[in-house]
Amino acid sequence: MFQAQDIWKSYSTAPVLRAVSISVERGSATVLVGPSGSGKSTLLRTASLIDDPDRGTVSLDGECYFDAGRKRRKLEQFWPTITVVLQQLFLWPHLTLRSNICLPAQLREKPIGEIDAVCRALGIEELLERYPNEVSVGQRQRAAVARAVMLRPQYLMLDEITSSLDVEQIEKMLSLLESKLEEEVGLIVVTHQLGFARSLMRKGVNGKFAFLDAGKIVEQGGIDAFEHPQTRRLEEFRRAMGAIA
Amino acid sequence: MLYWANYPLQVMLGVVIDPFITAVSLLSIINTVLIAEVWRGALNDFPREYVVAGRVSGMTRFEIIRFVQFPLLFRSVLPILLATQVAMLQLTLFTSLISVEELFRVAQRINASIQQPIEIYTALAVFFLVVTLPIYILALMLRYRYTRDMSER
Repeated sequence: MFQAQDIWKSYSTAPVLRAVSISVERGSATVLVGPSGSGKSTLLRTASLIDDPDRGTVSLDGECYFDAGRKRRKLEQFWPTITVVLQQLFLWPHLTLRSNICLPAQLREKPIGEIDAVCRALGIEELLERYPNEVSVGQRQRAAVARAVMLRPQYLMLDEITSSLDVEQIEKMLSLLESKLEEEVGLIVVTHQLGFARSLMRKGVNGKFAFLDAGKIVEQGGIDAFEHPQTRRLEEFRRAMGAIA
Repeated sequence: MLYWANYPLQVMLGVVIDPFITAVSLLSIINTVLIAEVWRGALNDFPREYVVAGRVSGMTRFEIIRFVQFPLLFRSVLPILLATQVAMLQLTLFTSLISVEELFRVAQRINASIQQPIEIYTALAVFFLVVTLPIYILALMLRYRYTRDMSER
């Protein structure tokens, strides 16, 4: 199980996260939803230890990788057991999509034979010899997901990976993530799309959500709690998102 | 600076150093500082998130430097480094100020004996063009080859 507990984070003096805790088990999905600026991406960056939390602990399968009190870190096992696809993607611009996708996996001696299958599943198999600036944002998003998937992580964090995808591509992404859930990969997914969130929670075992607002978790629970919110804030958010969808 | 290093400084220190060694040492220091500044600027401007992408993919620091940072930085600094070396080559002209036997000083000496400045200094200019032009062309070729537009659309 991946756990990030009691995470606090401030930029300058402004608190962005306040005592936020999330967890995910292998084979299940935790979906983070909330308005822009609520701290979802910051939570992903701190929970994945890209940025150090100010306070809190991060542990993976019972092993503590970060404790703000003790500053204990052994990150060589942490990544890529857990890996992240960030909102801005950051494919390396001097490498083709194929090299971007294969390089980290090759360096970690992971098999790269499935690149064609993964890229076909994501609909980018024709683009592998192109450079990142020669494809669209949506195609870059899918390439970044392919790079992460090729690392065969046990836990995968995804930040707004469907923001530039059309409905068909989102369906393909869902199918790929469903297959990862079946392979016992734990997913933490930030999304603004209620349908995508709902599908992910349903497809894994014990799927759950956390609704963040102003740096705090306002409501969390399983798919039933998501469909029947207890707080007015989540109800309003769902209504607004539903109206747009 | 050359003059200062060759005369007052050596008098102050009570040493006599061959002007050629003084010139080579000083130009080497200047060149080192210029190259370091080029690399420092490139490193400062390097997008941190490219490194983050490598870290979360399990790459070691060395692997990130080898496969991500160095290739990208090399592309951006190579043309500037070559241009810097051309400038350094031109700077060697000033070593004649401290009696180093470089091309300009030799040209001056020949001119003093045969009094044909147009021919001699034109020949000197042509010589410099022959030496520096290929380096400039190489810099342009490398810029064209390695600085492919990588900006995202």
